[in-house]
Amino acid sequence: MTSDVSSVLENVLVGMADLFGVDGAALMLLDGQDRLRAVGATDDDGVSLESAQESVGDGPAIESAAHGDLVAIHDLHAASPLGFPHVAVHALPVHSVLSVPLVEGSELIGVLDFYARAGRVWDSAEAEAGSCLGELMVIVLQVLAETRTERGQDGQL
Amino acid sequence: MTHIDPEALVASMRRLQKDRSATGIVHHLERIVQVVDRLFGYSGAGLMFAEEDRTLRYLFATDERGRSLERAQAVMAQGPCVAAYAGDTAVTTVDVREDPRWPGLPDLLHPEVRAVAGVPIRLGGVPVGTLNVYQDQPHDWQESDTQALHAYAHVIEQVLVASIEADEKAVLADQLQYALDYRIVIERAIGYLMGKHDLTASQAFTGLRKQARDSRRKVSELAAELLGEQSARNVPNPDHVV
Repeated sequence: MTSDVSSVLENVLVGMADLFGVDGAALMLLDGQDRLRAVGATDDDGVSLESAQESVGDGPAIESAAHGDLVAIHDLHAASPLGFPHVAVHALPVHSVLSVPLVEGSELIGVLDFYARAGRVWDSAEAEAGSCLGELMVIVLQVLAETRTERGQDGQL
Repeated sequence: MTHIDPEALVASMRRLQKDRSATGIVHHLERIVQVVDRLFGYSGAGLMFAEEDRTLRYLFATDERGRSLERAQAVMAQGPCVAAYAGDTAVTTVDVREDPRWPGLPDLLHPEVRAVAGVPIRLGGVPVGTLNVYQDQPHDWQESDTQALHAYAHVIEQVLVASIEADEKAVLADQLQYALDYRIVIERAIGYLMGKHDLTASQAFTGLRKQARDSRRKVSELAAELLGEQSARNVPNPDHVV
């Protein structure tokens, strides 16, 4: 079952990156201790981006979760507060990031990151599109959670 | 190459599962179609699914105009979405009211349904339905439009795949069939409320859904009672639906 849920998430992340026209998408979710954990990404750069944020405890996704709002970064490598150079050093090819908070009801459950290897200015239309895709990801996660609920809660996916 | 960390996924899913009760695939599909509407900025969107005999029937539309599009195609067994399903490919029309491919449709369509695009939704590589969008003005669809719709349909397919894992195929099919069957009852109840209270179809449908939600009942059940097709239960005055 792990592979089934994982493959659904993989396909959804790839589909969302395609829809958005970006180089990749990555997902971080809160665990039982309210820590953002890197769950998956469309490629190695996305994994690096999420892992760096998880280990450093800072970055656009962390900031998005803290404020419950979109965070749009034109150049991750720029000096703070415009960028997050201490994160960028672990994900060198990534330059632009749009972090979208994932909210179920009124509760934050994670952050969806879209990223590009070239510098990119995220306009208001792209921010709105990112929010819509965040809503879509929440629905997908709800479906997956229900899948697991109906299959029992033995810790297996 | 995608990468998913199963351990992190399990930890997060435990959190998501708390106090969770299954809401059903049809409810999720409705929400997904509402998102597509806002994501692309089209005038409306909808879903049609095929029955066992491969007849395409409408499941959900975001508004009254979209319902007329799906209903008309279901009645006439022709139109862009029917063609998308039958041909397993994207089908678009700049203006469905002027399109000679489907001469019977305009009479049944809301006048503000003009440009239409439909893409197949597939399971196991086989089309099972269509995702449909429309514009209220003639519109020359670009390849990027249909590519985006295909990508969105792909996400819908993943949701169906996940639901199949949960429900087993037969139960999923039952849920979809139930929704397809009861659309007729719901449509008739909407017509009843429109006539009785001088409402638009959209107002009537919204009122019906609100009353169903408030009383924790299914829209179809409430609709059937309104029409006197079932013994009334817990509905002091059906006219208070709106």
